[in-house]
Amino acid sequence: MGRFLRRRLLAVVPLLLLVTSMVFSLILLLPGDPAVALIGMEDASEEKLAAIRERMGLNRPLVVQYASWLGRVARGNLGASLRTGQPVTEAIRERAPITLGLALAATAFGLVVGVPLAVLAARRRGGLMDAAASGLAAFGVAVPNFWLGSMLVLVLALHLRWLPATGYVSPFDSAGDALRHLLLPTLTLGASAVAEVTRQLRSSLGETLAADFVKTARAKGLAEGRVVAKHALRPALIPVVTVAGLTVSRLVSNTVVVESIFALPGLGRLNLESVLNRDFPMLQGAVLVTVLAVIVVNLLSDLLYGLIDPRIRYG
Amino acid sequence: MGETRLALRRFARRRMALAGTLFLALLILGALAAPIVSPYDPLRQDLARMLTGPSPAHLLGTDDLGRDVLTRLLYGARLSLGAACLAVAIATVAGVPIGLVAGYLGGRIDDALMRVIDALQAFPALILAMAIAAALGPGLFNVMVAVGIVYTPRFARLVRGQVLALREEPFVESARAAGATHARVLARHVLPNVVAPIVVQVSIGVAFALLAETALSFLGVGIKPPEPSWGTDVGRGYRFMRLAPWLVFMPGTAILLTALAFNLVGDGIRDAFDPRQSREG
Amino acid sequence: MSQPTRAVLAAACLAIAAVLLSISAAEAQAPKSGGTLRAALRAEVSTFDPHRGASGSDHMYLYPVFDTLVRFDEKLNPRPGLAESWETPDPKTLVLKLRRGVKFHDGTPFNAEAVRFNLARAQDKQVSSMSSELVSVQDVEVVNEYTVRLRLKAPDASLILAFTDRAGMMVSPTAVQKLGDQFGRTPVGAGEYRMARWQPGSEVRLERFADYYEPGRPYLDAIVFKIIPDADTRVSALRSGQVDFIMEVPAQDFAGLKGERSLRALEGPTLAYWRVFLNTAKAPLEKKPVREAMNLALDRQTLLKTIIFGLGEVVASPFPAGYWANNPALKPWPYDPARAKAKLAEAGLPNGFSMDMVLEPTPEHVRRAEAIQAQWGAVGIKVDLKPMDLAKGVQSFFRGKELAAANYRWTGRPDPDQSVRAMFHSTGFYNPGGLKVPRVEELMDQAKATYKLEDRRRLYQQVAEVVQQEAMDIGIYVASSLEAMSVTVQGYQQNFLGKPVFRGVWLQGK
Repeated sequence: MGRFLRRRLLAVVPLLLLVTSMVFSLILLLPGDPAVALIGMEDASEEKLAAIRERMGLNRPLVVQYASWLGRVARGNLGASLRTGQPVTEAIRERAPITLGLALAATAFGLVVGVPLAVLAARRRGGLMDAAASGLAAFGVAVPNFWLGSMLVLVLALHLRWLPATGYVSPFDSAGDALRHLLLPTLTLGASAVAEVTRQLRSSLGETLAADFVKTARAKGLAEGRVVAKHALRPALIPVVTVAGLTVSRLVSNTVVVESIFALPGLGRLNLESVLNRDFPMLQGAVLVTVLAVIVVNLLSDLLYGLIDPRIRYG
Repeated sequence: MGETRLALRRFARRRMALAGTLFLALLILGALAAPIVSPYDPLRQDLARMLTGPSPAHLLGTDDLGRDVLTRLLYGARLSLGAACLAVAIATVAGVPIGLVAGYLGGRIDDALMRVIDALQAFPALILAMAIAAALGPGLFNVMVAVGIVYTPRFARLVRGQVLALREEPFVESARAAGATHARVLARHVLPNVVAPIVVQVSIGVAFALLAETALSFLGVGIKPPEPSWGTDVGRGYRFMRLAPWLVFMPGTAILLTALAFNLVGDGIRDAFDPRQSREG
Repeated sequence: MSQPTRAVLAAACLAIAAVLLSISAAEAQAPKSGGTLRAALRAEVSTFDPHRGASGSDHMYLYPVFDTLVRFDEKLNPRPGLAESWETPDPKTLVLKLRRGVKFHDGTPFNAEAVRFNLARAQDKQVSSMSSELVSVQDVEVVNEYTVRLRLKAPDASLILAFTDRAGMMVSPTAVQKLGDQFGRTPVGAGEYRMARWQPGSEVRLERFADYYEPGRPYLDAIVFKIIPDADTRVSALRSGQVDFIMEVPAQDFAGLKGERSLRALEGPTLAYWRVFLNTAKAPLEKKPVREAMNLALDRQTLLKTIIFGLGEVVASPFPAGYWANNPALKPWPYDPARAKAKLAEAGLPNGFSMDMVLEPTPEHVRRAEAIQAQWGAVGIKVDLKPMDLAKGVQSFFRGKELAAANYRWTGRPDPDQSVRAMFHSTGFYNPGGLKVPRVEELMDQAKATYKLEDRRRLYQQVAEVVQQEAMDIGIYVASSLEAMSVTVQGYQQNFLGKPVFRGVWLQGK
C-alpha cells in the first residue's frame, strides 16, 4: 500500500503539468486579453490598452509568460491576479474551502438519503418502494440545477422565509448562520448525488442479490436483512464508492451554477470569472487546486476499494 | 438471435420501460413532424402577444418574444436530443475501451491511462466547455463535443472499477488459463458483464448532457440564436420566472420527462439483457 | 416613512412630483446617523487605485472612498467638490480654488501640493490607465497652499467634468509613497468612508471616516458592498432582506418590486445608450442609404416596450431628454419599412444583404438582438448573430475589425466630448470602420475648446444633427437606471451615469 501511494503521488506531477498546459492552450485559443476584458466597453483606446498590457506584463510572448509562471510555481509562488493584484494563493485559501465544503456536504447528503433508499428498493424489485425510490432518483437526475435552486429559493426563502436566499457566512464568524446559508445550496447540489447513489447501488445490489453466493446464504436460512447487510451490500458498494468519488470531484469542479445562484464566493465562480477576465495566473491557480482536490478524492476512493473488497490488489 | 428475442420479450413485459419508450417515440415523432404538427414557425415573433399564458391558440403560451412555446419545444427537441445523444456517444466510444483496457491490463498502462482520465475529469467541466465554445465560436456541436469529452472519464472509471473486480473472478481466470487471448477474454467474458452498469450510465449520461446544455446556456454558452433548444429556452425562461412561470416550467418539464424516459428505458434494457437475471428467470 | 408620505409616494407618477416630494420628505425628516447599508453590486472592484484602474464597475466602490475635485449632480452638471470653485482666466489656463481643512484618511492634509501630486500621477503612463483624459494639461503650478493653476496645451472644456471621474479622485500622496503597489488594495482617500475590509469575491466593507471635513457627515457607520453577479439572485437577496439596495434591476422584475410595500423601486434617465456599432469599412455599411435603411427598419417604440418594458426612452442622439447637451428639437428616426426597402434599392441592394452582429451571450442580450434581427430581416437585412463573451467580442469587433456590427451598450461618460469623440470621430476606438464626417469632427473640436455651457450645448446639438443626417449612428434606446431598495434607505439620488453614489444616504430606524 505504501508503494502504491508513493507511485500515485509521484504521478500527480506530470498530471499537473498536463492540466496547466491544457489551461495554457485554452488561453492561447481565447481571443481578447485581460486588458480588453478589464476595460470592456468603458472608454477604451489603443493607448490605454497598451498601458494596461504593459503593466500586466502581457507584452511578453505567451510562451515566456507560461515558462516564468511555471518557474514561479516550482518555487511555490502562484503569482497574483492580473486584475486585482490579489495573490492567487490567498484567493484560493479563501475560496476553496467553500466549494469543497459544499461538495462534501452534498455528497454526504446523497449517501445518507441514497443508500437506505437503494437498499429498500433493491430488497423488493418492482415493489412500491422500488418504484418510489426509482422515481425520486430519476427526478434527481433529471432536474436542472438552477431550476431546482431557484424553486427552493422561491419557496423556502422568499415565501416561507425559513432560510436565507443567498450569501455566504464563514463558519468562523457564526457556525449556525454558516449552516443555514449552506442548506439550500447543499439541497440543490445534493439532489443529483442522491439520484446517482440510489441508482448505482440499487442496480449493483440487484445483481449481487441475484448472485450465487447470496443465494447460498439465503438457502442456508439467513434472515433477509442479514443477507443484504453481510453478503450483498459489501460487493455492491464498490460502484457506490466510485460514484461517491465521482460525485465529490464532479461537484468540486461544477459548482459554478449553484455558486452563482446563491452568491457563494467559491472556486467555481473564481474559475468562471477568471475565464471571462482572461486572468491567466488566477485561472491557472484555481484550476490547479480544483484538479488537486479531485486527485485526492480519487486516490481516497481507490484506497477504499481495497478496504471494502480485500480481493482487489493494488497492482 | 433467440437470446435477443427473449430479451425483447422480457423488455416488453416491463410497463414503465414501455411507457418510457412510447414517450421517446412520440417525442421523436413530434420533433420530426414538427412542421406538420404545428401551425407556427418557431422563429416567428409576435411582440404584441409576448408572454401570454396557455390558451387555445397557443397551447403552452408564448415566450418572451411572442413565439409559440409548444412549437419551439418540438423544434428544440431535435437539437437538444441530437446533441445529448452525440455527447453520450462520444463519451461511450472513448470511455469504455479505456476503462476495459486499464482495468484488465493493470500496471503501468492502467496508471498512464488513468492519469489522463484524471486530468480530464479533474478539469472543471463547465469551464472547459465554456472555453472551448468561446474559442470555437457558438454552436451546439462544439459545446456537445466538449460535454462528451468531459463525460468520458465517468465511463472509463466505472468500467475499470467493475473490471478490477471481474478479473479476479474464477471464470475469467479459467478462460485465461485455457489460453484465450486478452482480446477474446475482454470481449467474451469481461464486456458482457459490465454492460449493465454501462447502460445505466448511458441513460444517466443523456440526462447529464441535457442538463449540461441547460447549465451552459445559463452561463451564456449554447446554441446560436435564434435557433430553439430546450436548454436555451429554459435559461431564458428563468429570467421571467416571476412574470411568466410557464416559460421556465415547460422546457424544464420537457427536460425532466425526457431524462426520466431515458432512465426507464435504460432500466428496462438492463433487466432484459442482464445475463445473471436471465439465468434466474 | 410615515403612512401618509408613503401613500403620496405611491401615487406620484411624474418625475417632477417625485422630486418635489423628496424635498418635502427631507424637510419632514432630518437625516439620522448610524447603521450599515448593505448594497448588492454586480461586479467586484478591480482595484481601489483610481489611476491604475480602468473598469467601469469600479466607480461605485471608488466614489465613497475618494472625494473628487469636482462633483456631478444627478443630471451631470458640475458642482463644487474638493475644488470649491474654478475659473478660466484665458482658454489655456484653469485655476482651481481648493477647499480648506480637508484631510486624507491617514491624516495627510489635502492641499495644492496633493493636487499636483495626483495630477502628475494620473498623467504618468507607468502608473495610470487614464493619462489620455489629461493630455491637454501641460503643467500644474502650485500658486499657494489652496490654489493650483493648470496650464493647458490647448483649450479643453471637458476637463471640468473629467475631474468628476477618476482624474479628479484624490489619493493620499504619503500613502501612495508608503504603500507602492499595495495601494490598490489598501486605499487612502479623502472621501466619506475608508476601506476597512475587502474579501475578494464576496464583499467590501467601508467604514465612516470620523475626520471627514463636513460636520455630521457621513450619516452611515458603514457601507457593505456584496458582490452578486446574477441579477435574479440580487432581486432575491433584496426581497429576503439580506441586502438593502440593489442596482441594475432586471426590467421584467421592476414592476413587481415596485409593488412591494417594504421596498422602493426607482427609475431614472441615464446615458446608457443601446446601439448597434457598425464597422463601416465592411461593405455595404459604408453606404449612407444602407445605414438609413437600417435606421428606418427599426421599430424602436416596440423594442422599448417589449425588451425593457418601456423603462427607457427612444432618442434621436446618444443623449436622453433633460441632459444638458441633448438636442430636444431633433426627432428620432421614424419606423418606415417601405422607405427602408427603397433606400436599400437606392444603394443597389434591392434584395437586401447579410451581415454578422456580435452580442453578449446572456439571455437578455440575446433577446434584444433577436428582436432586432427579426425587424431587419423583414426588410431583407439578414443578420447572423454571434454571441461572444465581452473580452472576445470587444477584441474581435473593435480591435480585430473582423465583424460588421455589434449590439452593445455605450455606458456614457461624464463629459459629452468623451462620448461623441469615441463613437463619431474617425479615430475613435468605438468607430472601428473609421467613418469620417469632417463636419462632425470640426464641431466636436470647437465644442471642446468652448467653455461657456450655452455655446457648448449648441455645438453638441449640431453634432447630433449631422450625425443623424449622415446616418452615422444606429441607436435603439436609452435604458433607465433601475434601482431598488428597502424603504429604510433614505436620501438616495439616482444620476445620469447610472452608477450609484451613496453620498447623503442614511438609514431610517426600523
